[in-house]
Amino acid sequence: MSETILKINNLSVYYGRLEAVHDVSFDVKKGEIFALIGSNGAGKTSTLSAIVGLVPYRGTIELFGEKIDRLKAYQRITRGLSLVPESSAAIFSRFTVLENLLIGSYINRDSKKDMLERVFSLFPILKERANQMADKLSGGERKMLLIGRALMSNPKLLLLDEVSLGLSPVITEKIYEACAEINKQGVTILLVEQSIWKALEKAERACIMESGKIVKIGTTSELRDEELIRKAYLGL
Amino acid sequence: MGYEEVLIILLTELAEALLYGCLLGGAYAVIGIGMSLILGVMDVMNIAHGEFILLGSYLAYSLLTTFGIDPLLSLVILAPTFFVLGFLLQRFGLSKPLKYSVDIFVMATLAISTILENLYLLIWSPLQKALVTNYMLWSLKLGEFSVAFVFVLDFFISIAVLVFLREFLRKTYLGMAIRASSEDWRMAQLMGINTDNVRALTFGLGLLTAGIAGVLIGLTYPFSPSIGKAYLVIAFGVVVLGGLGSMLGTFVGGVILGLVQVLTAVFFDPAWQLFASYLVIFVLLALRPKGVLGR
Amino acid sequence: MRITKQPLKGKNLVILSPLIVVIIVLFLIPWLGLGEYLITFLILYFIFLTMTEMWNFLAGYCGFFSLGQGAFVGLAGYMLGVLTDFGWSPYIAILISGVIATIFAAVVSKPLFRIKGVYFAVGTLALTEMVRIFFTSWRPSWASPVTWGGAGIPIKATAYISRVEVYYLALILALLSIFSLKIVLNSKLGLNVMAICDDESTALSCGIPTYRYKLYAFILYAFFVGLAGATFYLYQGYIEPTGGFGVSWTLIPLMATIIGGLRSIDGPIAGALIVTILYLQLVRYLGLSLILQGIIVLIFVFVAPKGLKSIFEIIRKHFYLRSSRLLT
Repeated sequence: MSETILKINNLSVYYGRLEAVHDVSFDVKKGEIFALIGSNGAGKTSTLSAIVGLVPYRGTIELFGEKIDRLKAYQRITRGLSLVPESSAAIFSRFTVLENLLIGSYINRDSKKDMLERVFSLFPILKERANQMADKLSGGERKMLLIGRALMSNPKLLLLDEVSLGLSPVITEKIYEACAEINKQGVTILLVEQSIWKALEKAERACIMESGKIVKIGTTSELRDEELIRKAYLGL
Repeated sequence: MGYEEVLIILLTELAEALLYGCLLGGAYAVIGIGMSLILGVMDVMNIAHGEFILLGSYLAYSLLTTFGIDPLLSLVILAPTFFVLGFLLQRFGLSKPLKYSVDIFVMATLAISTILENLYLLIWSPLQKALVTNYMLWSLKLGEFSVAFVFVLDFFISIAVLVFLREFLRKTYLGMAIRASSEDWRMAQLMGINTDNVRALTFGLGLLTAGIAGVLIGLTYPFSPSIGKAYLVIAFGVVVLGGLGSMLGTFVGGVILGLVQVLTAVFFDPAWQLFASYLVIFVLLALRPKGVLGR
Repeated sequence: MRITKQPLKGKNLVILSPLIVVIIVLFLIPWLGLGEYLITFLILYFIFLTMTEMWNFLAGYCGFFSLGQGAFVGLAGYMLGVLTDFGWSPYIAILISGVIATIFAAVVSKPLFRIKGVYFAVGTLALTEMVRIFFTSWRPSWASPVTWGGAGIPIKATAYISRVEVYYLALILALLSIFSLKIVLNSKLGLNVMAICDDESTALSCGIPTYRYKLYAFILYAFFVGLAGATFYLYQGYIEPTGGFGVSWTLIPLMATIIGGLRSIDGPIAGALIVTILYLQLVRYLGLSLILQGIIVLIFVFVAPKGLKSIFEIIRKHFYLRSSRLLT
């Protein structure tokens, strides 16, 4: 049985009086690809924000066996966590592509050369555009830059928020391929997806969220066989 | 006198004024850069900025009159002191108000500004002081003109400071951390950047430049406790004119203000020179609030 | 912070009656023979109260942090001096000074409103400095050689007007300012302005003409601050640039606001009281007094940024917890 590297216990996130996430619990095991599925407003992004420490929350989060609730966001990154945010505006637009990547290795500057090589082999286009200003990149290239930047800190757990949002199917495929490669390199991936098709295809385990609560959780094959899922989401 | 002679005299005066304006502009750029950094990273203005500049002038003055230390030399002591002061002040003092709200931070710095100004009144009296050194009276010959040495000094030290800062911000990891925090502090946190420390670092840099500016201006013009406000407005003007986040913009902003001030003093009336600068700031604000080269 | 419409119904009428008594008493004070000092104290108190209410209105409800109150105070003061110099009646002169301050506010609103937040704050400061330099350097053609410039000008009317008259002026001013604020905050203007303060772009998309409402709020502020300033200088008898346009005019309402609490109409009543006491106690030690004021502001910033009320809240919560533990 694979060890659990991320344990979410009774997580609740409130924005004022609005409850975005309610009493959510799940585990992510080492080396797997875990998907958080749900439509807009289901609470997926809020969950990620809580894990990474950008929003206050109730409940506990354990990373590699350590309770990280008291840690601030920049401290959690040093524990092997990294987030690829949903919006492509999250790149540093006044930096070049290379500078974006370099700042990603802020906490492990010594290995920046190795990390750069790794990112460039995954996304060769970034190497080509290394000295261009980041805001000149296309949507897909920006996503790649975001992923590359997140990889620069050599994370053991990578959080991906809606990788495929707003991208063409071809680019999306490319990115998912890169993710599979990253996973093979030993990085555990927690990805957030709106498209249940994609999620069930790419991930090993998943949980489905609706209105801030978990509706179903299990391996993707279990989920695919579920009556409810087949009817509601897959239209079968 | 014939028209030609009058014209030559006028042009010479104009050229001199332009020259002085540019040189002064360098010093003004240094006054403004501290505020620009703080504004860029922390999205606030330190109302006491002018008083900290004055602190530089006054401390250099005391070091000069008590120990005979040359002001430029005293920068060696003052610069790091100011940096540490700024870092500690932000890290352990102002971070709480800042987290609470921008308005409260402004209140706090306004209070600090008042306290400092009146401390200066008590300690150094309302009389004007100046950093008097022997090289104050030197003149350099540049072809037809002779220029006061201090102005040239101001200019080159300013350029050095601006270039140093630019390289620091561009090439070092800390500098990149500052730029990243200034653009998007959440993303910066996700890079593992301790944004509390970055804010403290930025504030330290802001005070550092204020101290340097204080010594430079103290060598150039006499100063008194009430001038702090004028420095604040000049810094503000530099930021408004030059925009945020651009060294070149800050420099241009400083030069514009310097030029307006000197031209007004020479061709109109020295009593109104600051007024003219302020007027320009406001007019430009009315037309283009984003600055000449700004974001 | 939420937008709250202050109710004007039954509950308030009950609160109003003791208030009416207080107001009647205030009007009678000069006849009660309680001494010159009390009158002076109250004059200052009412003036500071007016200024604080207005500053709080602008800062707390409208989100405009004005550091440049001095511009309007000094301008009104100088206007008063000039007008009374030419023989105008002080009452009319005060009114006109207020109007001049208002016009000035309207003119500078164009550039000022372009800048938000902290830029605005420093912008008002820059404005005040500008006006101060103007009045330090400019000498009108009719000026006698020892006046104007850095020396300032005397207010001739002060000699002809009794302290008691100034007292009533100040009292009426304070009452008017509170009264108008109460009306404005419940009116369309007030609600709109608060909406703009909370979120300008949303307000814009709701079709609110933001510039116009901001202008109205600013004009109201400038008018009352101008009146208050003119009244002060009528009391003092002379005005010079450093004091007239000084930072004190911002510090006083700021201190009163931070003590009394931002965004309330009652807060300034208490805050201004404390500030007036401090002002009178410390006026002898001018330099030290400002240092102390600064220190007080700092203490409040760190300990109770929401004002004295928050300290009371903390104390109350403390007692509540302790007493409820006693019950269980």
